[in-house]
Amino acid sequence: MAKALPLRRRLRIFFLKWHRTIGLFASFFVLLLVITGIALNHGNELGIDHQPLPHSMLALYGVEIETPTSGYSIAGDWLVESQQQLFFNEQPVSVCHPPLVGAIPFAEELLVACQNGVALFTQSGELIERAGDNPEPLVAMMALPNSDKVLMKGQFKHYTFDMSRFEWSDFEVTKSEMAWLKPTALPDALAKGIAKKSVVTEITWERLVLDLHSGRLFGQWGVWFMDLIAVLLAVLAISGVWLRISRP
Amino acid sequence: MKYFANVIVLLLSIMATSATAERYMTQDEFLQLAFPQGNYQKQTLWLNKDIKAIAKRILKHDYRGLRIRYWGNSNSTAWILDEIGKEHPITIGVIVDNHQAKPVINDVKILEFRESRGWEVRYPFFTAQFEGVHLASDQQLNKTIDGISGATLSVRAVKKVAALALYLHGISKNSPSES
Repeated sequence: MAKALPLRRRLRIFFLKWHRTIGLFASFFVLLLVITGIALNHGNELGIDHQPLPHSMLALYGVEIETPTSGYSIAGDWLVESQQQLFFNEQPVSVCHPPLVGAIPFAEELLVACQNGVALFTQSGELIERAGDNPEPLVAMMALPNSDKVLMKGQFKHYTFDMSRFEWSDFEVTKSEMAWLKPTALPDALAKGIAKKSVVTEITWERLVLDLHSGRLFGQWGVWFMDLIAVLLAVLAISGVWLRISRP
Repeated sequence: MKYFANVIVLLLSIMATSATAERYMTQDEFLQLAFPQGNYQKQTLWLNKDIKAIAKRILKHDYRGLRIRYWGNSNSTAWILDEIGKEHPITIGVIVDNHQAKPVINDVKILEFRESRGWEVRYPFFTAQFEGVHLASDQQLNKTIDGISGATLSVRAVKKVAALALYLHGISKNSPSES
């Protein structure tokens, strides 16, 4: 009858077999964790912390971008807000917190107001200057005839904005009915074109890499699976150390 | 007791992580600080291709805009510039003086902070480091600015704006070489 192997020897064979098997199984996920971990550590240098995911990948997060329906047309060009971006025709040109309050031609430039402030653009949509320090979120706008000023309505008060000096002043409105600017319906083709180019700025490549790293991209099961991989890596570490120190 | 403790922890985490804009100083207050005598003029600097190229080198991204408004007199300028920290812009004020024919920073103030973390940059222990700083030949600050743990991106934004303000002062008509 063959002599039974000593316990230590049997344990070594057992651990060696499983160390190799687990190592092979986990190798792909280890590489994934290495690559995503390094990317996360250097997110700013790689630019992934501010690059939004392209439109085509937003479905991973169940995000469907609404097609914009209205905007402001000036001399055949359109100013439209979509996903907190201001579009000049189909080109995103600036940040714009909704609502897009209005757009007015001024000299050879365009003054555009969003809830978060006012900006001046060239007639081809290039940003000239953004006005800082608007007194409160804006809700409506109208041109004042024969004037370098526009009238703005905030959440609580009214203001004039001097388009030459880029300065705000308080304003008392005496009329009850004001002809505030209103957006008009967008042409279909333009609306669809803008929707296709819209991104959600909060969902960045860093978000995707983080969710891949944690497994969260695949839901709660993904998270538990990565927990399992982490446990298996711990088993590898322990078995590896044991195999090393128990070598005859 | 355990339930109560959990509620407290939850409330504290919500307070710590909610990203609301904090305005520490208005434009008027900043200008009052920069020019206590009120002796300044509002001025405009147009950014041509060359200036934008250098601004891009300083900021490590394009400067969006064709002109910048600033305030100044024969000796000093005050700049209010926005720079993204991690996700939201930080509004930063920089006061630059002419000192021995060279632009140097007099003061840096955080006017408005919109991120959920990194707000420590607004404190004097950080901003005081910029006093007396000028530009080295490569358009970088001539002095190492100590960072703040957990506020790396905010620190970086303030440093970039400080360098940009020094550069812009140097090419403005308030600079000693231009006057």
